[in-house]
Amino acid sequence: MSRFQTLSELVRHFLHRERWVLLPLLGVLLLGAVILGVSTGLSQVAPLVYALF
Amino acid sequence: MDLWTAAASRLSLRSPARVAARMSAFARAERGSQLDMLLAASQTQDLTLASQFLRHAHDESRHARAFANRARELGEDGWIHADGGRLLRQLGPAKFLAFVHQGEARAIQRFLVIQDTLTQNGDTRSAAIFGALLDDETRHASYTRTALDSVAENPAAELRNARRWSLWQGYRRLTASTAKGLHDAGAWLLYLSLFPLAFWLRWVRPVRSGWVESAPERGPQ
Amino acid sequence: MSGGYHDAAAALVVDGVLVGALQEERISRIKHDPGLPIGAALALLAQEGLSPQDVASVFFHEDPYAHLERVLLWSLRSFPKGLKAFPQAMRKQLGSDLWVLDSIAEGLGIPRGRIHKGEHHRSHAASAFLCSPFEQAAILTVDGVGEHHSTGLWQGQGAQISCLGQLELPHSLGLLWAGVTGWMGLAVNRGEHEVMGLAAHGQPRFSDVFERWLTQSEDGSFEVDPAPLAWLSDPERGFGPAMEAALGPARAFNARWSLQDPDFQLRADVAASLQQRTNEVLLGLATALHERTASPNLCVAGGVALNCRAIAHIQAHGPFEQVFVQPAAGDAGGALGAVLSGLGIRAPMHHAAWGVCCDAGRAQDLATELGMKVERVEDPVQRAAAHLAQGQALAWVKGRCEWGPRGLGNRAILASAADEALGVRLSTQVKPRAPFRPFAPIVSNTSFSEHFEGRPDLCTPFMTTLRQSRNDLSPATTHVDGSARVQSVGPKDALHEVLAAFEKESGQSVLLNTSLNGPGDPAVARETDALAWLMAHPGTPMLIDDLWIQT
Repeated sequence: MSRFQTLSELVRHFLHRERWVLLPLLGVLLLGAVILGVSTGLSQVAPLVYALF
Repeated sequence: MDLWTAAASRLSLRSPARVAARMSAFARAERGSQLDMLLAASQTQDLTLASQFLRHAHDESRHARAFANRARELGEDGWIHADGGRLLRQLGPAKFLAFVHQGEARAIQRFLVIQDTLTQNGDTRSAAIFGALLDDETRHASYTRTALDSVAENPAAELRNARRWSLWQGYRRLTASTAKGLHDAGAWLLYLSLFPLAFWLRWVRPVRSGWVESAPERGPQ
Repeated sequence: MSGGYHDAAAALVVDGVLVGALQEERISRIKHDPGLPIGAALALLAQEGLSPQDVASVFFHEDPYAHLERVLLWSLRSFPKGLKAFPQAMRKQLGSDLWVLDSIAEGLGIPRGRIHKGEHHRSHAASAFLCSPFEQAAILTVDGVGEHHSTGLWQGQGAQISCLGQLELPHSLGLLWAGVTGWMGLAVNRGEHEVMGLAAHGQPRFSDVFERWLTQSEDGSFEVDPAPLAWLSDPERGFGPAMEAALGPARAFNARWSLQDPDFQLRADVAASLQQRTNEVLLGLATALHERTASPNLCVAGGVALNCRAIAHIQAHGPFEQVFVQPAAGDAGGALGAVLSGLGIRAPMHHAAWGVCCDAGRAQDLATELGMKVERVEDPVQRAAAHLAQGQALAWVKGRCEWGPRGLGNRAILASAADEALGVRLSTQVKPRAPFRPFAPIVSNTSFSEHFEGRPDLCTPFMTTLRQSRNDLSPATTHVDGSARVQSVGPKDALHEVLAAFEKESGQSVLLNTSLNGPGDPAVARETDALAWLMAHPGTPMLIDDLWIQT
């Protein structure tokens, strides 16, 4: 749950006028990070995920 | 297994540059192990075992230096940067001892093969380094086994657990490396596709020189 | 806490009083540990009889979101040169740095809500000012880069700090030093102090190059030409082809130094040129800051503040009456600044012994178990002095380990400063180092002016400045130009009595002092580290409190 606090602080930081230009890049990167993070997490219980990924 | 190890050893040591790279890898491994043993000594109340860990750390430090010096002679930079030190906390005393024991026993086998290969290749200086470490490795394998027998209720089960953990770590390294490759390829593609944004950014967020306005008064958040 | 880049550290305040400060490397035994200082925090808490659950708040020294913003911004600004480093940077940012506040909460086992972010340069400014003896001061922060900024002018009053202005990337003195350090074949973020030492051997014949690369305006702000640097495209080396074109080919990484090398003088001249330009620019910054604050006091922090040669230059030629640099002026100090500014308290620093203790009782048991000769001595000070007067080196361990990168008398290798041969033996066998790097002299306040120019000041107890030696001290403790990183000790310092007894025994009042560590290792902190050092250096006895230990 604590990660949601970080994500919400991150979004608030990037909603600033000078920074919104970086939001699309951040979005794509975070999506990539989530995919990798989820697959890393899944690998604890389902180690074949990586072999298929 | 021996034939396979010998073939792999010949392949990985077929040129001085490869021997140097292997020496550097061993130097890093020994340095990492030194950190594990040093921290294990500081976390172990039993004086006999703590002193054995300290002796072990001292040996690993010598080994790391010997490998790094030889790597340097063969053209590597000799820089040792290793991570380590968390194993005892992570595994607990019995599994830690089982893991170290297996690692040392495996090192003896591997060092013998490498020593043999290097001698056949005529690199007697490198071969001598491995030869000189064998006594230490044998002592390490022996004391960790004795300590394991006194610490663990079921030493054989701990050895099996350690073996499984070791295999699992190997698998995780492999998957992490695959994930890293996928991530990096994706990141490169993303980066290259961003060139319009890169040029736009130069316009909307230009580099600023000179004193920028004071940051707003901020406390911790 | 500070960490995630290099020199992770933790500082602990209990009921409004600073009770400890410790770098993670002293616990993890990984020099300049770049991780998070969980081990250091747990060790400090344990020393106070506390558990993580007792922690009300943790203040982290910087803002991870602004940090990520800067990395994204510069990755794009440097397009397409940033291609090589982009995946690695993203792995580090999105894999760990972004979640640093969560990782701290998880590492300590406390709620995430108790972790607060700070601001990198404000933490530096606080680490300098709130630990100083000044109620009011001008504050200069200079390093490689914080979130966006490399340099800051600040003003401190009571426990408040206000920002007067900051410089943004790419204008960074620290990154210019990092680039030259890489060009010298030294590790970036680790070898900068060696470049500073090398400067004593050179002549600034490349000053025109550095004047071109580093230009300064009347208001003190400066600009750095990014062309010779490569902190985005090649962060491990930090320099690009333009630097080699101007200064010559880079030195091989980690190559051994020799004064006889044909290119040694070239390297020394480059170091001297960079040092000279740094002195000029820092003096310009200090002068501009003085004009804006009219304060007689200056505090300096950030990695560049560890350049004691530049600090000495500000002291000698700057407009300030007093200058203060605390011992952990680099990123480690950010931990201290973060907690002091977070709580809004002052903690004037009179000594550097803020780390963990060495347990002499356990050291005795362990040393005995290891088959070492252990002896309890009645008068350890006298025994140490007599041993040193016989021309022998001694490993000295007393009280808590030091805060900051320097050995300041609690974990030290000591020897007579007059014995040249012993100095050579120390620098080749006991603590191998580049031949141009002397050890440091240590002297009591009362004998200071006899051997060094000027008087002890706020920096000399922490070895954060240089002084010219007046007489012929051994080259083991002075640079070739006669300058020395001298430490002054007062009556309350651990080594004061040893210096007095040594003077009685030998007629000399200066000792050689260097931190107690092996090559590539962090300084000794606890008893196991001390005994590990002793095993690696069997010829040198060690005194831990009143325990005399020999292998």
